Amino acid sequence: MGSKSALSFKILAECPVTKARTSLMTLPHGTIETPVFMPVGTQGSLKGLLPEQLEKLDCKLILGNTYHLGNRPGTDLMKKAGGLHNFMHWPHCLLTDSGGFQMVSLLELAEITEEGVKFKSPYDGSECMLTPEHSIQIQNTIGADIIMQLDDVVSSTTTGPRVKEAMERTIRWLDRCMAAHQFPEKQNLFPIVQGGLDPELRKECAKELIKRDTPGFAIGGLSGGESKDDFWRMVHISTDILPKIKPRYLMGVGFAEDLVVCCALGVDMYDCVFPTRTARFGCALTFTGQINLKQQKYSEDFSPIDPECNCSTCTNYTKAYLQKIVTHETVACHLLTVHNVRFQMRLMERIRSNIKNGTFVDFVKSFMLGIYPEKNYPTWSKEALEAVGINLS
Amino acid sequence: MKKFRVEKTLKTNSGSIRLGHLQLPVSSSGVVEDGDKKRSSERKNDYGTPMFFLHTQTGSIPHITAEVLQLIYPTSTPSISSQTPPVQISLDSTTKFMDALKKFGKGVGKFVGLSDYPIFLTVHDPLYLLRSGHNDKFGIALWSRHGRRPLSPQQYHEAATAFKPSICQVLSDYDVNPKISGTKRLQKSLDRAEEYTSCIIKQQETEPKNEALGLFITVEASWFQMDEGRATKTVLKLLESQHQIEGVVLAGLTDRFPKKDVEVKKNPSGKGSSGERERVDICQALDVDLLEKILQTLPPGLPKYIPGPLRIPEMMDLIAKGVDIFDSSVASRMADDAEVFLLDSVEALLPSISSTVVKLSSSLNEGLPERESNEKNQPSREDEEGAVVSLKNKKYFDDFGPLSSFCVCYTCRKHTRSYIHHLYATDELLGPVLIQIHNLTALDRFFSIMRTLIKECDTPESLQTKLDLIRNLLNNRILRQAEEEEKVAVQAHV
Repeated sequence: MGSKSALSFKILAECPVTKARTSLMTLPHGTIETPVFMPVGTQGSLKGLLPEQLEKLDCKLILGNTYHLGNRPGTDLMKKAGGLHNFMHWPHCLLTDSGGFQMVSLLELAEITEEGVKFKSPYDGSECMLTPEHSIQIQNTIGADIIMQLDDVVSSTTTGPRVKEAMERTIRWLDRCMAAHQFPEKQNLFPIVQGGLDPELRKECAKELIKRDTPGFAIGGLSGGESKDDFWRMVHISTDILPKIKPRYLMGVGFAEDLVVCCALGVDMYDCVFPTRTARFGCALTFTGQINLKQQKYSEDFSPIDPECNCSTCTNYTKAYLQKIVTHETVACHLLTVHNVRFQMRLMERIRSNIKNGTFVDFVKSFMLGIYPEKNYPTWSKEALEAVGINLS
Repeated sequence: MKKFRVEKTLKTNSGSIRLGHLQLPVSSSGVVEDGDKKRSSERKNDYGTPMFFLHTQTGSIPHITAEVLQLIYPTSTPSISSQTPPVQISLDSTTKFMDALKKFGKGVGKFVGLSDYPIFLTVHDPLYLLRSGHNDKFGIALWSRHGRRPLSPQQYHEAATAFKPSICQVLSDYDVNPKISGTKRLQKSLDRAEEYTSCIIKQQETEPKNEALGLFITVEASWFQMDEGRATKTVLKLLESQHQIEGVVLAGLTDRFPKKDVEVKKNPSGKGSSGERERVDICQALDVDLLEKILQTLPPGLPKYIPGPLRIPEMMDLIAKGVDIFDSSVASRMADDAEVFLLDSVEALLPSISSTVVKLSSSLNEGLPERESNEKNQPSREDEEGAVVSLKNKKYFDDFGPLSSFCVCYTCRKHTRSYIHHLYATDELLGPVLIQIHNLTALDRFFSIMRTLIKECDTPESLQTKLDLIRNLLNNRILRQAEEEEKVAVQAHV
């Protein structure tokens, strides 16, 4: 590991069968046990939860969005406030994305050139240019423990020469990001493996990136509507190449099944808006799948969402009450966000402790059986798990 | 057994200011057997008055979960310097609870995650206006986001049985509007008041389970506006069964009906979207003369509750008249508009007018890390300390000070005005949470200051002087604020 790094990664245990491992990742604002799920706090807060509530949920690493924070409140204020940790009063770890992903979602507004991404501000219509240097500059101001390179993201379903161009440009942009990065001793810059759904491009990208001495690596451009069959293969290919001694972050992934499968494929970090977004729509996550609390069948169900869950929602509230308030009261949104974040944390705890105990393979099997009691497993997860030595049938 | 006792009364020229105690056991059969009772019975459920109830909608304090409520009121035993308020739940916002609560059997408090809190079951959410023309001989109309729902006295009794509150408001035929109602309509409303009250008392008597349930009768301000004589006669009749009646809800003093009483559309099924419900504005001026007339007819031994969103200076006026109980609906409204109570000017004044008001100390919120002070970045804000400010104002964009430099609430200890301004600018759900935390703390603080001042003053004159000082302080600030806003508006216009 390079001398200029603000991250140490210590593998505690590895699964003897799969590529799964559990590790301690030490960052400037604390030590994180991996595999870890990071909830998304887009604009400097996590969907109505107080920092203290997140701590109680055992959540010590959350994600902020550079694109949004750069717009509002903007870098001048962020600088004055002394960074995002201070601004939102969050003493634990933070990760910021590069702003690149928002380009895909705002593509009609954006024009990508070698220089960077030109886009119209959705707030005031002014023209802005986000270059790799600019992205790093904003992220340096925000001050997260882990920052991401600006990558040229193409939709995961794009094919043809554009995918190769984006992959190669991502590598060139990484070098510009590394050169622009002002605080390598305080913030960890992660490169992003791109290459669409083309195995060769993925391999080429990963091989090129690992020549640089960065504290960790991300796998990007997935979880955007591609087939699950392609998705797991791209993850598998990437983790085969990325060095074992550094953390691997799979961007935008957060469904329970995906997390379990991708941990088996050797991924250490995840983020996704899903658990918090689905909370707003009245959905609660459980080990047997998600339930929609709007449904009439819960109207006289006086049990908690999950009797085994120790979150404040499951301790204080019944499904019957939640059924009365979901999607109407912000309190319902807070309650389900608390539960869903806690669910993600509990899932990751189980994954970690099973890896430690050497029981990960059994865990994966019983977890999958929990979601698919009829054993009608989807082909992709069956194949993905088979690729790392777990036979579900 | 009476739940209310008056500890001290000071008669001033504007009325009788009282210090009292309201006993609110977390009541009723279901909860007793529940094991929860053990925890709650350890609490001294003796509330000092003047006091307020926590306003809820659909059973929850807007934006505040049970977990966060614990952060607002960390001390579990009420004391004169701080008391965790009990909870008000209105039947109109919980009409959908009925079937579930009957089967649940443990009462609404437990159902909504607030099992440790005594519940006051009221009829209407004080933040919404009512509509005219739907009360009839079978009962009254409740309005909610689900539309209209008729409620008979029998159904109300069933609700009270299922909800298991500590106290409950007797329903009332509210549909008397002095501007348009005739004397016949008034008489109907008065007759129904007697009918509903005696009906509920009769039903109470047949159900020993409900022994602990205290009744608050409803007195409509409009009765007195239209015919003081008849109104007084009815109120005295209602009070005849005094041993059953624990208090009075003074209804209709804050806004009741839409200003233009237009039916949006005739909708016999009563199914309507929430958009059709009109919200009550924060009450600026209350008819104090009318209130005095009503209070004269009521026995001093009963606590009086005025529901609805009132600012602190208006609450002070009412406390001075002898009103004992309010609710936090004003805070629920303020959270929507990023408005915060600032009691800094009052806190600064306190040491000079009171020897016993407990200074706020961080021990209240032990265990919370200190907010890193950023003093050099705090702009001077002498011009605005007091009353109410809105954090939506752009001037807070880079204000790294706490909402209030005196306040020890979670929000003030951890977060800056700049951050809260940002949360509102980006529509983040955390904004209203942080402001509710602060405002509910400030309301508790305000009432504890009131109780302490009443307790320590020996003469009505000295109390009146102190209350006037505080009130002027808050009002001047409000005026100055209004002037400033006007100035800004004029400048913007130019």
